[in-house]
Amino acid sequence: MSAGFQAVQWNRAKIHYDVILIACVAAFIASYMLLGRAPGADGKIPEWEDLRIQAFGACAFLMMSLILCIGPLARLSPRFLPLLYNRRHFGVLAFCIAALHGYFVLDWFIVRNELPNFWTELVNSEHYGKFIGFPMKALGIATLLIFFVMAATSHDYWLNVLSPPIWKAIHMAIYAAYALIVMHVALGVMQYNFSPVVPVALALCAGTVAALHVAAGLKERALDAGTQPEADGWIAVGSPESMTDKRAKIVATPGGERIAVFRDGEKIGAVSNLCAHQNGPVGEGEIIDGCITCPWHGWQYRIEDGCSPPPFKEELPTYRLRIKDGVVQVHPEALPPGTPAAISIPAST
Amino acid sequence: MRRAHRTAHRILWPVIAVLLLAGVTMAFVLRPPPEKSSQFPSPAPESIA
Repeated sequence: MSAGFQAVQWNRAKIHYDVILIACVAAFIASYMLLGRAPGADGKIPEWEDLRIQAFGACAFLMMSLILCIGPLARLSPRFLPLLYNRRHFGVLAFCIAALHGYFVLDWFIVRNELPNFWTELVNSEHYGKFIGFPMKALGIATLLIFFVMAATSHDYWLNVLSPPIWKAIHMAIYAAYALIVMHVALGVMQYNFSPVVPVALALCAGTVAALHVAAGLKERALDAGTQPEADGWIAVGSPESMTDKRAKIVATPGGERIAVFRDGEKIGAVSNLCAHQNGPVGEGEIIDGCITCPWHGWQYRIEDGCSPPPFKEELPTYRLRIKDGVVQVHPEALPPGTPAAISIPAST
Repeated sequence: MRRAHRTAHRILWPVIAVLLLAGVTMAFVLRPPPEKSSQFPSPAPESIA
């Protein structure tokens, strides 16, 4: 986290992430182009300029599929949370690779003086009424436009200006972009390349992305059903002994947002489970250096009052707590952000 | 993620999965046979991107 906005707030983890990412992208593109130079069944050797179009396109599609797997994987298992930490750089790099793919296609037409054909294919309305023969380049261009909006607004400055819910809603356009890109491949390369690799790779990527999202959604459904409050409106969290030190138990009222109840030694505090940064699940994080730390990007809050330590100014809503008959209970009505509400566990517990 | 965001995900993804399955299956089944597609010189502009 940062007290101000910087173009890129580098740290060791982000540099490692980006170096590995760029190395993998370079290795994929180089391997694709080198292996692609092998003569085909007809003895022809593909041209470098054709191979680079295919290599960058395949790389962008694979990157997009991987990016979409990170979210649900992190929901299914915390082991994948490190991948989520710098996902935005992954996304911006994927946009750059996709944009280069588009540029190489355009260059292919320009070099051959065939730009008018490219344009005609896009504006010929007859083609838009067909399924096979639909202008798949239009699907690619639409994907690029969505990608551009997402890459351009990916910075925390825009997140702050737009607010997390609106920013998230805009960035959910990635799902539409992914559907478009799958059909771009299905109605493009799959129509003339009869190698089984294309449909198998397409089905594997799209199938994995969809299956992971559906599985993560089913897992979340159980917790979203919520816990019925007791007659006096309080919700049981569990005995202090059942709460792991430095971790949280997450509870929810039926139809309500989730509450993260943390234990830090003898202290118990309840805050909203929505991080002020990107609405990340703070309750799945842990207490580091005395602060609740969001697992997504490391934003921190004090357990006592949900405030970020100075000089940061973010605040989370807190919740009243009590211990009744040896059970920690939380009241589902949120207190104003930054209100002190933590309690101490009695010495005998 | 907010509850509304999770609910949107839960509704959206099965729909996307079905649409993609239908779209890719149709594109695979309806694609012209190799003999027909070979009328396009390789690499054809339509087949590059």
